[in-house]
Amino acid sequence: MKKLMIAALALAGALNAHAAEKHILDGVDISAAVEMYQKQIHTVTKPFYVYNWSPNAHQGDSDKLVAFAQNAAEAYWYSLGDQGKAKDNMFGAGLYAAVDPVVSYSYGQGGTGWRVIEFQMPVGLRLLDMNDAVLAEGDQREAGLKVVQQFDCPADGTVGVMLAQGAVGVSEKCRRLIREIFGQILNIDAIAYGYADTRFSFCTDNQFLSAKAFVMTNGEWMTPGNTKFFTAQSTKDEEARIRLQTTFLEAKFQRIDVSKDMVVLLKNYVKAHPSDEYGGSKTICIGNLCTLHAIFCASVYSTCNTVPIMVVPRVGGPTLTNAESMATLYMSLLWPDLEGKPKMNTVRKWIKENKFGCAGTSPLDGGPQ
Amino acid sequence: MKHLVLASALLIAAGSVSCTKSSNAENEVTRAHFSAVQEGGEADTKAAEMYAEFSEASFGKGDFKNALFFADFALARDPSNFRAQFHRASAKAMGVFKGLFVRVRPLTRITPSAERNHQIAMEKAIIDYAQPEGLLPFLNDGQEDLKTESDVQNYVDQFIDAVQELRLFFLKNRDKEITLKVNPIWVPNPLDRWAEGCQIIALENYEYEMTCPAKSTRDTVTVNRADFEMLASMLQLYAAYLAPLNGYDLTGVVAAEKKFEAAQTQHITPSLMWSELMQTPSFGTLRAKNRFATVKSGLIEVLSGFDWMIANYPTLCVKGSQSGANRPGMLLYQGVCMAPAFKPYLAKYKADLTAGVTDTTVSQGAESYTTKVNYGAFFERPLKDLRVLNMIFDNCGSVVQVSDPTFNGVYPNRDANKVLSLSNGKCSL
Repeated sequence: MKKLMIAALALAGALNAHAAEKHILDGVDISAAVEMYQKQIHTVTKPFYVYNWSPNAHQGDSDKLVAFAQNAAEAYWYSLGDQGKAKDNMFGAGLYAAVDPVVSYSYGQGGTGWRVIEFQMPVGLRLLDMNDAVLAEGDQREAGLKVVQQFDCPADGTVGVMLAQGAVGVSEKCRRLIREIFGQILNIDAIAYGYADTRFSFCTDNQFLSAKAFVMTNGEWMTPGNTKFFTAQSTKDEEARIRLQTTFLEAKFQRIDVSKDMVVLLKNYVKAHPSDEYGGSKTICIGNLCTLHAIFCASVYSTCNTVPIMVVPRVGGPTLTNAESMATLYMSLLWPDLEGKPKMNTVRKWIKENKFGCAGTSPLDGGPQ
Repeated sequence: MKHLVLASALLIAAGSVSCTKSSNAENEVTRAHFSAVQEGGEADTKAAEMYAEFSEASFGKGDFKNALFFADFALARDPSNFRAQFHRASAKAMGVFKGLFVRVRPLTRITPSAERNHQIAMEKAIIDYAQPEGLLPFLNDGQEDLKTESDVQNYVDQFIDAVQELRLFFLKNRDKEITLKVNPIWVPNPLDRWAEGCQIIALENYEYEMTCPAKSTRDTVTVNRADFEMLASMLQLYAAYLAPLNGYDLTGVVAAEKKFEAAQTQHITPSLMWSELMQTPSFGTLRAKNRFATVKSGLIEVLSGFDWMIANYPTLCVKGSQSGANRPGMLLYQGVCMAPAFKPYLAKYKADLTAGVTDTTVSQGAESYTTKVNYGAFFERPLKDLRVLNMIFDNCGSVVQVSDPTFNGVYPNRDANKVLSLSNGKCSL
């Protein structure tokens, strides 16, 4: 009981200290803006993985590359406003990472000259979501926006707009305020924003929740344990590489959409047989090919027609093979030494547990952001 | 006739509506049938639904006259019948297109090229507007009465009124839901929609399964809050777009077109066209029935509609913007995909519109310039005559200089010309 009371007193003291703390920039008290934006910081409550692909500038598996990632993240605040670096980037020059390795693979430019960094975002990381407008209300909002306007930032204080293309659209005075609040005082670790992701049928079907990407803005949390580098030449950490390769095959298997040709075929069938009900489908595999058939039944006569809809390479098998990769992904295995190795047979479980939002709940505090 | 944008826009808009004349004999039979229906209580409710279905069937055939007639008949029995209300509002709005193809004929004869364009458009229309069967007869059922720019602008006023009336109906009833029989007006492609709603699902055993929408979605379509919100926003955007275009007198456009075509002028620059139009004293003067005052509130309403769509993104856009499986069987079946990433931008647009003066940054190359802007000023206090701006154009047709450095109050720092040169100054004067 005594310990609890001491803890409570300590917490109250910390809160008072925080409330009393003043933040001054260029002679202006910016505390109100800090408090306003504090509401928009989300904390990681469950670890998840993200991936950064780029053309390979660093060969090999060196753990020293963690320092490279740390520097790249910390350079973010200093590159704000740089027109040249900001070009074509959502929120300026930085270390960007998507929630699955497949969706951003093309940033590595294919072939064998790529590098991928796998980050495990640890519990406690502080993120700023660009999808949020200013969340503070009432007097707190008014006081915060007053500060924001004093620094010539857009009057409504929306961070997503201020940081668009690396804050090239706002004044240097405003950029100083952004750096001070988010880079120094609130000390955020990454920026989150809406991006594409791979749709896995076993994930909760909520793109609103899961489709995210991140820009790293602080590298202090990065360690060899949560920051792994791979290139086409990598030979270490076979388990992680098998997981990545299996994820690519799984994503391909999952990513079959109804094509325009299939729409025409289905439409023409129901046009010719207007009373037929769609009665399901079946897959028939022969050799390396599988055919999906649609079943239509005329309810009056209870007769059914089986209509072939699409032919796809057979996916599956217990081992990783270049043949399957070429047939399904139209690319070689990411690492040739994985040929014949067993696939990760628990990859779906792993993705469900580790892909942002796949399990249907947000790994950030405050529910779906 | 390329500068008569409004007339062509209306022709395009007409592509989405239709109507046909009803048979008098049929009406007599139907009326006789109605008079036999028992009145009172539940019987009224049932009778009203039956008339509402007649209204719906007439609407689907493009017979708007009978759609209105049956809807009124239904509402006389049961004023709360939503099917009748829906088709009454829709048919009434469509009425603005009656005879449009014939009405615009005088304007299509002003130059040989306009005549040729009209002929091409009509050849296409015969194919595009073949269904429902009443569409072309309805669009051709009129007199050649749109003869001047003023006639067209008055017509556009009526069109905006019709758009607004329908929009308000949608907004007022946005919490209701109605299932309609498919027809070529609301749903021209029911089988495509059904097929696009099919989905392939990857199974645990590495086989695929295809699911498709229920058969009923080939025959019916449901309209609910999301559809009403989206339709209302689209109509409001359309009205907000047309309002400024129709705000100033366009008299002189026809004469200018005639003059340039007669002289075989090869390159009609905006500057040349503007100079010519300035010769007509009434051109560019504020019309008495201008709607500038409605633009700002209209746009804010659109943004509020978008806010609702963002808030409901998880259920409205489950399968992504391109998928027909988002909302199988609904009117807007591909989903309403207003991504949350737009949220801060919407907040900013709304704040810009409501705040009065706000900050904006324009840039060209490495040069960037931040200033104060009052986006609403032009709409709140529109100029009486555009001549006072003395606009100067560059070779690309963009305005690069005006005599009023505040651009009628839009730039309170009196730096309109700096902003214009930064935004548009890529071409020589």
